[in-house]
Amino acid sequence: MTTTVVRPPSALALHEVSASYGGRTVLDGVSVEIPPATLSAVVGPNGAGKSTMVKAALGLVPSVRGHVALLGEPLRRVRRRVAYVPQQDSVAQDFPITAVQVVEMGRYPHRGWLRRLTRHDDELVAAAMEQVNVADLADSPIDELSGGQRQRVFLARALAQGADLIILDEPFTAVDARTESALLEVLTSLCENGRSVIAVHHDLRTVLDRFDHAVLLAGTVIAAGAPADVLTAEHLERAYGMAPLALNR
Amino acid sequence: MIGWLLDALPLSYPDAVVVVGTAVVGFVAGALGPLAVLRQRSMFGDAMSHGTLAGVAVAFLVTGAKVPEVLLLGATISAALAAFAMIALERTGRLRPDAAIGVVLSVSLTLGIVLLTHIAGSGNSEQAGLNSYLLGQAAGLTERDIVLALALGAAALAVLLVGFRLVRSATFDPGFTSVAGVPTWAVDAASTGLLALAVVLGVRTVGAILMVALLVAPVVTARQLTKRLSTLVPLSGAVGAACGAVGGVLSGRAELPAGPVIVLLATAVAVLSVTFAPRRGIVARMRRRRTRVAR
Repeated sequence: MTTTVVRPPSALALHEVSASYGGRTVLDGVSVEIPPATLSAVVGPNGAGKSTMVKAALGLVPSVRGHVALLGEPLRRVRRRVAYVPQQDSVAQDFPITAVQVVEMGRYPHRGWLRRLTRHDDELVAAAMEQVNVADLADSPIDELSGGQRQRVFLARALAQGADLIILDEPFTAVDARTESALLEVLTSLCENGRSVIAVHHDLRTVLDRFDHAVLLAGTVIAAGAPADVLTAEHLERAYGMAPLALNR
Repeated sequence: MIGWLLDALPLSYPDAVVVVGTAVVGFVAGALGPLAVLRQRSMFGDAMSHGTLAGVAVAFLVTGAKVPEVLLLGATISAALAAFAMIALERTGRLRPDAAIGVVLSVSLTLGIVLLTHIAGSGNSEQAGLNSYLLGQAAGLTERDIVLALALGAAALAVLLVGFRLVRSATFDPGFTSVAGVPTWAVDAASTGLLALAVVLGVRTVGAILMVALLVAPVVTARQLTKRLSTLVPLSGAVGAACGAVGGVLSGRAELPAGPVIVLLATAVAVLSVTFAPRRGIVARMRRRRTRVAR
């Protein structure tokens, strides 16, 4: 008699995904599987299609071919379970909104866009802000926060959503080192509790030190797997055209 | 009901009509203005406003009469066509948005002026006053105009109120909102529609050329005074209403076109707010910086 072991589905699975912007092919037949419950980084040189890859997976790029599964399902069936933290410059600057209002957005997919939030929602919002240390900034306008504080607020939104998969696009740009380390700690503990986190990132040093999994991209997948196996001199040379830094300790 | 309000005001009947009429138009424009300013669509609104002129002229040429509702319908159709043309130029012609706006704005204004000039020369005695659509005129407002503006304005504001979170989220963070399952293109289209309505309602009073200022200036004023969109919308509406009402009366007294007077007033208020607003104003920020340096 055999027992079937039900493996949890991949956090993100792309099969032959291609995408183009204004006639230029940015992703060319990308196939990759990112395992669940890991802190994963998508790395590669500028223009490698890192952002495009996660945006394509989230249905944010108009012309995409290929097949995408998030948490083993098509996007439309897992919208509530997937949280997206976009690049800071794709969020409206100088918008009149307070920190707590941003975090509350995380509850809208659950509650509906026209209904009031419940007390339960308010508690989740408060707990999420507490978790990333921004509870005291609740009533601050978002445009008066520092880069690090803003990023904490956006992560709190993902936490309030209670998502099983969090996808972040360049989350540590314009963020101080202390905040980066604190946020990585929160993300790591999420993964230990079975959540999956995928971050587009460019600092290869942190990827080696703090991430469980890495995908090296240069229009197509150069390598994927454990960071130490992915970020080898050979792979980096293929992706960047030259080894950018001696990463080996 | 409007009649009662007009009688209750301590003004002569014609002045009361102007005050109430321009206040309604100003409120609607101010309250819907954030849909232009915060979406960085101010010039898009300007081009739609210039586009109304040709529609007014064509509506008059077709019907041969100056029925406000018919002219309004013409203005709406041509504003929508202008919006459609801009989007089409951006999408298919791969034109940058500013270039698309520039083309549509100048072409539609030219068309409007050519048609109005043609009508003026046609000897049709009905056409007198059609020119006021260019620079606006508050004196010609009637009770019927007010009722129409109130009804359409209230409907537009109700739509904004119901969809408030959708609009706020889609404008602030379109990526998140789309991933959450909202068709952001639909929110965008609805916002543009509401904006078109505000433009069309105001065009007769403020004029096609200057209408955009009544969408933008009250928002700039109010933005300095609040950190929440839910306060910005009514506050901006109130500023728009005040500028509209005062400017409308002043222009009548001074025998000047209403558009420029209202716009100068709204701009002056915006400059005051940008300079002296308690928290975000230039003076307040300079003072904060000085205290920080002193420490």
